[in-house]
Amino acid sequence: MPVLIRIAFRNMWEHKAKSVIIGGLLGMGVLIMIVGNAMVDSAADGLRRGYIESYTGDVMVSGVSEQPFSIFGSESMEMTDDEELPIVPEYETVYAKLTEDPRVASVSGLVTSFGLLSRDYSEDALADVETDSENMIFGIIFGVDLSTYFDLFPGLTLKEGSLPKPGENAVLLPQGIKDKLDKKYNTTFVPGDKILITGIMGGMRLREVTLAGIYDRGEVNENAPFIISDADTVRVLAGLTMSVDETIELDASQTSLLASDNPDDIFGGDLFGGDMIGEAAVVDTNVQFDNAASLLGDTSKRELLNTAQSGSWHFLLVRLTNENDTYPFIAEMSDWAKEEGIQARVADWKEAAGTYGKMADLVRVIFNIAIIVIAIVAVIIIMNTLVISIIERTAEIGTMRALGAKRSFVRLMFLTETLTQSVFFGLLGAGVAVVGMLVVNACNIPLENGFAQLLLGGETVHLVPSAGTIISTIVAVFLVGWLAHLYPVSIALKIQPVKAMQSE
Amino acid sequence: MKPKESAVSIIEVKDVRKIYPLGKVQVEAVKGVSFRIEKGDFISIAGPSGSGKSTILNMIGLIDTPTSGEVFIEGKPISGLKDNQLTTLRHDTIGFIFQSFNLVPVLNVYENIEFPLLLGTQKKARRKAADGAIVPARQKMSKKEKTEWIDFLIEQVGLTQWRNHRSNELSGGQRQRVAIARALVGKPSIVMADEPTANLDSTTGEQILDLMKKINKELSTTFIFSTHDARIVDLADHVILLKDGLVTENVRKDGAVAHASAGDGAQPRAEQ
Repeated sequence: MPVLIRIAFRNMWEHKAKSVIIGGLLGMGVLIMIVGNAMVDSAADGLRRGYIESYTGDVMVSGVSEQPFSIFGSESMEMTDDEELPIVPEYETVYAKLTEDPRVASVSGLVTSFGLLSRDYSEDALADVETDSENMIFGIIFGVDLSTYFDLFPGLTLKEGSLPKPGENAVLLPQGIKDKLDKKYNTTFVPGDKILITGIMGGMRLREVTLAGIYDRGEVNENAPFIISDADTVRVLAGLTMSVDETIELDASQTSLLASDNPDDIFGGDLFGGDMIGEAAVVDTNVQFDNAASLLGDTSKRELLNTAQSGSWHFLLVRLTNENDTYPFIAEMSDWAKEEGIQARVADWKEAAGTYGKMADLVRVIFNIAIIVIAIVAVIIIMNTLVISIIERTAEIGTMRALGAKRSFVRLMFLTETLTQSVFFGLLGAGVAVVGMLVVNACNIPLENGFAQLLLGGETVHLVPSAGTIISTIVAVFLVGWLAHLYPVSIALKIQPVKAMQSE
Repeated sequence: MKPKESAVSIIEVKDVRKIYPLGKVQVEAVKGVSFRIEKGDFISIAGPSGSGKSTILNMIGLIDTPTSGEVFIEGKPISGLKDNQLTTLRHDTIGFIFQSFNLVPVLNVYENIEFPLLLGTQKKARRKAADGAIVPARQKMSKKEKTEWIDFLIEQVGLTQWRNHRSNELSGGQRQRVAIARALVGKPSIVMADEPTANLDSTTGEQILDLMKKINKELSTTFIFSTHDARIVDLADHVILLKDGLVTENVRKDGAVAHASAGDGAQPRAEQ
């Protein structure tokens, strides 16, 4: 074996051009893999921290739906009317179970809806969607339990104003949304001003709310459309209202009237033909605003449709004392729910964040595909270089065979040469990558761009080379070397000892 | 010179033919040749270019196989041996000296000579012969013994001061000396030399031949040359002349009868 390593190193040195091509490729591949993975790791970690600390907590409990959904709402690509999110079943029982667990630090309920923000109804918020979509102010509205939500996410701070008072229909806006409103209406919104929210989830609903304050979530993206509101406002916007279930009995004449196909039967023969307008006369001019409501009769049933179902929540968000307990906790809670016959979904932050949470995974997949492409190219280039090398060394291989080297020796010799090169240049690439990252970290390079901050999970460039990545990269390089040597070696093994005699 | 009355046949070639395909044509390089070589011979297989001498040397050196016929090494037939068995037999029995020296370029003089010792079978104190008999193989040398033996060979070939030099730092003659030492390092019973002086000047060529003759006498190593160098033919004690793939003459200079097998058209004779 030592002679093989000796031959490998000396051949590497002897054929510098070839070594530089192969080694450069391998070293570069390793460098890209380690730095790239560190970037993806940083992004994934930043994303995870960001979501857990600002949006999802460690664990999410929700109801079950056939459609995909997250705390940001339905993620179904199908345009169906059924966009309603499921509510947490047996909320009180689930809540009690969560709060009595010693691993749980805090729990808070959440209701999610979407809405368009405007100053007042006269602006006709819905018209904006068609005529002025660029200026449309869209918001994902979180209806929260204000008594616990801020304990769950201590990073949330009030920049201006105060928390909504109990029972008050009010919102907290992020600075970005507030700036948009200011710009759109050419005014400065201050706490106490009224804002109209047009709900666009499960039918159109309007709600006038008070601007209670401006909050800061430490968002990288100041235009993030997340609005915090009292739970009841969002419940109504989300269609979580009291229902009416009443049968109206029709008499025989009403039934036959509705069964008729002839509009004259319903509206009379001279609906538009006669001088109906001219003949119209005010029957009673004593209607006043005070008694107008009485004309509508009993509106209590209709009022129910605008009354929030208090106690209904789409989600329960949980922060644990130790985040390492997350997955055992999820497993135990899921088992408990199953045993209790509660149709609840218990999930981690990534599922809670839905598509957004899988962004790092997506970046990693894209990155890994790129790495695989590079690896394939590397294998082909290394393979071709080795084939040329073997053709050049035909006499040498023939001589070795003539002197008593078995095929296994030849195979081992080329494997050793390839792997020596792979490891040598792989380690060199890894070393350059690690040193490079340490230098970059020490420089504390600030990230001005929001996307870059999101990508690197912080406000400065901080890349952490993980031992796992380095080891897996070296293993990958080994694999590339091993794959690349297979075909050239098959050529080398065909070289007969008699080739030694044919060299000049 | 006293004839070798009870000479032991170390190699026997029986009606060997070798046909090479050359495109659509088949070229018969060796057309049914038979002869024997005795242990300790300094034998020259001579003939003009294309006579088939290198082809025969390749076959008796176990680096090529006959199309038909049989080659016996130390009395054992080689046909039917697998590649690994042939390699082991070659490693244990034969040393090679090539026309172009064929040193491993990245190894120095010492390492090139040491190379065959690193190829495998030294660990076995005994090996099983093809006929099933247990015969002693080369003993595994200790590291010290190995170093001393290689240094002894280096000294014998006059390269002590070049011990740590690579082949590209040596002259042609020096390289061939390294090749001789390498051929001898495994203490083989046979050394095959293919035109060993072809790439050397006459003085160096003579020095090399003297060295090989000396080793032949001192170690009783059988030397088989493929050559058309007249000096080697003069120095050889057994000459096989080839022409057009056939043996035309099979002569022993020591007076012993040159053995021939069936199929050999040449008349064996002893030179007085």
